[in-house]
Amino acid sequence: MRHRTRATLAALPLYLFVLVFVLGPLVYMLVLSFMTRDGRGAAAVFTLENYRRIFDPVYFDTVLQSLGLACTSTALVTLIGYPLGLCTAFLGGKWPSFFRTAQMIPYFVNSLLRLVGWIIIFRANGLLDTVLMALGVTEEPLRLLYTYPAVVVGMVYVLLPFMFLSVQQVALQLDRTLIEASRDLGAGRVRTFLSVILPLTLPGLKTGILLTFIPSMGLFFIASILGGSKVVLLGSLIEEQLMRAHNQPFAAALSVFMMLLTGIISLLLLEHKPHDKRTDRKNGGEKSE
Amino acid sequence: MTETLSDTHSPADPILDVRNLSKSFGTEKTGGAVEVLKNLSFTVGRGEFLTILGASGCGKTTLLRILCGLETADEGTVLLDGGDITALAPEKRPVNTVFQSYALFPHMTVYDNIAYPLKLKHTPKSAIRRRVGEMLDMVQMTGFEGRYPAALSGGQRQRIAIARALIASPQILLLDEPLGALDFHLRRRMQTELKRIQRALGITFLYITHDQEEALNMSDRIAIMHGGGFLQLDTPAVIYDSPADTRCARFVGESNLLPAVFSAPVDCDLVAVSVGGQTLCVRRGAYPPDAFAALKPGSPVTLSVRSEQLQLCSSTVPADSILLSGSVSEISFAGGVQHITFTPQGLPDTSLVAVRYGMEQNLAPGMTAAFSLSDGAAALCLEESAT
Repeated sequence: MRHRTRATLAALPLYLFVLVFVLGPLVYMLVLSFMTRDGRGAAAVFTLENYRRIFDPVYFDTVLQSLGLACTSTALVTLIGYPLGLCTAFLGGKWPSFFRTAQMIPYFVNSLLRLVGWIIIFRANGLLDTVLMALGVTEEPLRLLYTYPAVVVGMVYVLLPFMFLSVQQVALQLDRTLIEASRDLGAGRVRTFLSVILPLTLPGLKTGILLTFIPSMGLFFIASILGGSKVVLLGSLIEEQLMRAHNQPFAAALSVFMMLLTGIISLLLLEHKPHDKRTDRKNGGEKSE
Repeated sequence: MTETLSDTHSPADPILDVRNLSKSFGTEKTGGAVEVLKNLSFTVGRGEFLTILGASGCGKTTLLRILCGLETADEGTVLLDGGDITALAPEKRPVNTVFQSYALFPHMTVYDNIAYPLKLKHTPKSAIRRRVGEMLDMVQMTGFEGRYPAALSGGQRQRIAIARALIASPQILLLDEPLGALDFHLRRRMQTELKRIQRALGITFLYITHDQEEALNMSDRIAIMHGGGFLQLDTPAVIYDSPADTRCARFVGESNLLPAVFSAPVDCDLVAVSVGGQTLCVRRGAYPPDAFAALKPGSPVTLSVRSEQLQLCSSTVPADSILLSGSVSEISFAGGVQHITFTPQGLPDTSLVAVRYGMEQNLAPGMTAAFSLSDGAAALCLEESAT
């Protein structure tokens, strides 16, 4: 019994920490979301108005745009990251770790600064325009900065490694003999990919999607830097309401809403992860001869 | 090396004809090219169970990979039933492989694993169902359709791998040390199983192993492989009685190598040699022709003698035999069979092992024992350093 109390006591600081710094703010935000705006603060008058406002077209558009951006970014990241992860894994030798390191090095620089780099590329008469006009592809500056595509590029740029690394890791663990066996038994390269490689690397793909979609809902600083005021995401909206419109309850309601949305989507994505078939003992696991 | 093979049982209408296969790995950068297969040629008969026996590094796995298409040879041709398959992709060859690690697809059930080759051929579902049932029945695993490979034991996975490789009725089945991971008793049972399946289906089996007992047990012919080529390709009986050289002798059975001095040929099959002063007739066996032509009276030769040919006897020599007596150094008993190791007089560096049946314990290390060796029992065996 002494051991039990000792263990509880030892964990006590951790509980306190979580209580004060995690649960506390969440509860505060939840309570705030039901209060009424009062000048620059909030009055303790219960209301559901904040939540109703979320569904006003003006604001709900932002929600839809955030979801749309998340989907687009995730789709592009998958399209680029999945083949990349597979190919670098199958190159063998030192190549997989080489590419992993190559991917990581830019991350030594703060992502904010790297996005500023994209501004230099995207702005009118910036790097991209200079190159394209020099090659004769375009005659006028593209004005890509502060547009939706620019934000998508920024998102994909920042989130790609998560997909690439998940897929590569799973692909590295793939038993190559399975590919050889598939070919030997009569399957061509395409069929082998569809029947063997794809199913067995799917867990990596799903993890990658999870690690891409969730952050893409929240990384509003990418939208701020590359999209300016033209591309407004849920996160930007919350910031705006809190810092500039001084509407704390509404900002709180938006935050709670965003948390719920992200939470539900995560659960849905997790639900669809396949069983680990290796531990499937439904049909009996007796290993007798 | 292959030109001097005494291949007395070459099939007339071979299903597989391998010609001048050569393969090297590596470049100057990795320390020089290594020749893994050296100008290898051989044929395999229809419905034959051919075992390629060799130690690790002899090139047997490379040979198998070239035959199934996963690797391409630098030079040479592979003819399957008369057709050139040398450049054919693995999925297009009617050759299937049972891999050493079984390579069962972990994300598919036993049924889907076995059905895989037929699904690739777009066989109708009802036919697939019937064939999978037949295969499971053949490997005695009916009822396991819904299980996943992870829930199976090693021996069970083995059998599913075999079923999967045979369901499309390939012309040749390649087996890469399939029984290596199994325990002794299971291995013995599976050897019988494999032989039974092979006989029942009549499919040509090309079996790779380093286990001589397996080879002797199952094969119609054995190819002893070393350094990228075959030392000897013949039936187990011939290799056992007449190993081509000392490496082959060591590979198959207990090798008793007796130094002798060549005297003269007696007839086309026998030669006279002198063993410690005594004259003995020995078989020419599989001694390479060019080496035989170089023998002169007085040339030192090596004889291969099987343990059961050394008969324990009293001091009187039976007719047409020589006597080898010496000090017993070791006796081991193994269930009714005694292995007696002794050093013959006059040949202090030689150690011979004789067998005796029964558990009579009238011999002990240190005692002198006499063994007779009859004419025609031993065979000439080329002395080769084991490189």
